[in-house]
Amino acid sequence: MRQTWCLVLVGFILIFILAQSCLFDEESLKLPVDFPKIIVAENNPYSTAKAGLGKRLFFDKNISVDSTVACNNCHLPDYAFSDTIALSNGVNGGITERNSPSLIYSGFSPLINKDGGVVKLDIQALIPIEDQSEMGIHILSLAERLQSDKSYNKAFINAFDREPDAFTIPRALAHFIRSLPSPSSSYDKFIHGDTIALSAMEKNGMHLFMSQRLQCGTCHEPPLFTTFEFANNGLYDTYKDLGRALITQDSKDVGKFRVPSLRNVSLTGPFMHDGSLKSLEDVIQHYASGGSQHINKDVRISSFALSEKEKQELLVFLNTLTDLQPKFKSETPL
Amino acid sequence: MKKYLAGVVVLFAFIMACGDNDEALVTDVTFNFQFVTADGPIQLDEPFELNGSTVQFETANYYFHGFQMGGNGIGLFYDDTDAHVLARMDLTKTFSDINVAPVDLTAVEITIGVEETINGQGETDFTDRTSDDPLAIKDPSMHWNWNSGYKFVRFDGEVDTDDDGIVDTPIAYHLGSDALRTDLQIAHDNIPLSAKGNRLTMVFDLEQFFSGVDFQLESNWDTHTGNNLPLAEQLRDNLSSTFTITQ
Repeated sequence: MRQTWCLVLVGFILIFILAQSCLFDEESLKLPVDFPKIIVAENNPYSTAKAGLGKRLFFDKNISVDSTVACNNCHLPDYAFSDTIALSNGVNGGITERNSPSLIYSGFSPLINKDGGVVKLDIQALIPIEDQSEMGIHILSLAERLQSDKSYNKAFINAFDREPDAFTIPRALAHFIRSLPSPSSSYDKFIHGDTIALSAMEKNGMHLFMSQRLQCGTCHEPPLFTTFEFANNGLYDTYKDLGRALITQDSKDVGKFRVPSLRNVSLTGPFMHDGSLKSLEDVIQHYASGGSQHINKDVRISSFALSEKEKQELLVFLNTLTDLQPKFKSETPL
Repeated sequence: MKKYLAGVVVLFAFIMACGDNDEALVTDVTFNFQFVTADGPIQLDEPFELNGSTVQFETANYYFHGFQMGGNGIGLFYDDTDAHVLARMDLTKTFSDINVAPVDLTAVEITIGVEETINGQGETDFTDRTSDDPLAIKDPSMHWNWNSGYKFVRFDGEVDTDDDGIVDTPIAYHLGSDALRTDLQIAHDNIPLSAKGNRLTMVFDLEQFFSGVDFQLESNWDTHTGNNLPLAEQLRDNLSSTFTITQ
């Protein structure tokens, strides 16, 4: 009789542990209440095992054709998973066509990439993997390579209940990216009640940022500091890269790119879709000038005067958007 | 007894008649896919003359769906509009369960491209399909990784641009996106379909498809649709005269 009760007890404990581990998977994506939910597809629920596998892939050069380029070559953890140069280097001397974006808050974006060409994060990784200027390997060849690696094969079966393939590889990477958000900036502390988290100068910068005069916050709206809309910010009179129009084939979309999140913006330069503006000072100068006269330029882009003091206030505010406790740094052990 | 015997004879005759009818029906039609110029079928990786230039292709593929057949006197007699077909030189496609009496094929309709919902890569996408599915990931790829959707038509190759006899300038023609999906009625002479062995060829005429394209001009060396929409639209418009069906 005692044995039976022991078995029942052990059963309950096992069920409790299992339930907790499921909750833990959900909990690990939990963010402050003012944040939207991270987008996760029904056919690919989040799990820490998948995200862990994605992390391993992210830092593995063997996922490029000649085993020389990993994801972190262009998405450096110390720079909010962006690059420090305008255009990044891939295999065989290849150079990317656009500036490498920060990945930390990509999990919130309804459409992926600067032109919104990819409809879900779950398949985005196919671009860098297959692009001849980045990793240059067909996804089916990469799947074969990983299937022949016993350790990877086991990890994929553990996480997805299936081998590495065109479905699981990009989805593992997507889950790693979903695990990255760590809203821990001075701005976050201030918004959640720590009134001294921002200095007077930083608060002035915040008010300027949100002001009718500058209207930065209408496109770079808190809490993610983006609306994810596509806008032409008047960078050029003629666009070599057509942006959103490449996808929609609509001339009204020429020169439109997805508004990027400004979280960690102090770490993610150079700026703009092509990395053509080196510093945040250059970016402020661009917007203050009112930009080009391109027919698709957003109506909110118009010139404004800014004193040197105001410029400094704006800059120090932008610095407060940097996560103070990022989940990963270059020294984070794998 | 005689009555029973007569009954059995009638029943036997009825069964035999049914059997005869079954055997007489057209059950399936198999298509193979050919790419031609006026000089005949082209081969992949072999140079040939096209619009006054020497070109060669490594890849020549297209998708179609919305397949329908019409016959003399009976109108539309078969459709398999949901099926997607990857047309490639090394592949064939059999449409089965047709089950009509022998008929002259008078009309074939297809839509070049992939159906809109599937092309949109919603819940199910090209990574979530088994390898025998024409819409699964292929090598060479028929999916666009940077623009969720399929390449409806894909030609990749090289052209000789300096008249040295060597084809070494890359050319690529990738048509896709919802705006370039194209409904076609394919021209052909009436083709009798019999109960067995209907093997037809869907012929893709490169001279028609590339009509008006001067391969010596850099602006004609590639289109990935969005980056060179005028060329993509020109090729899309040429599709209406590109196809024929032969026995």
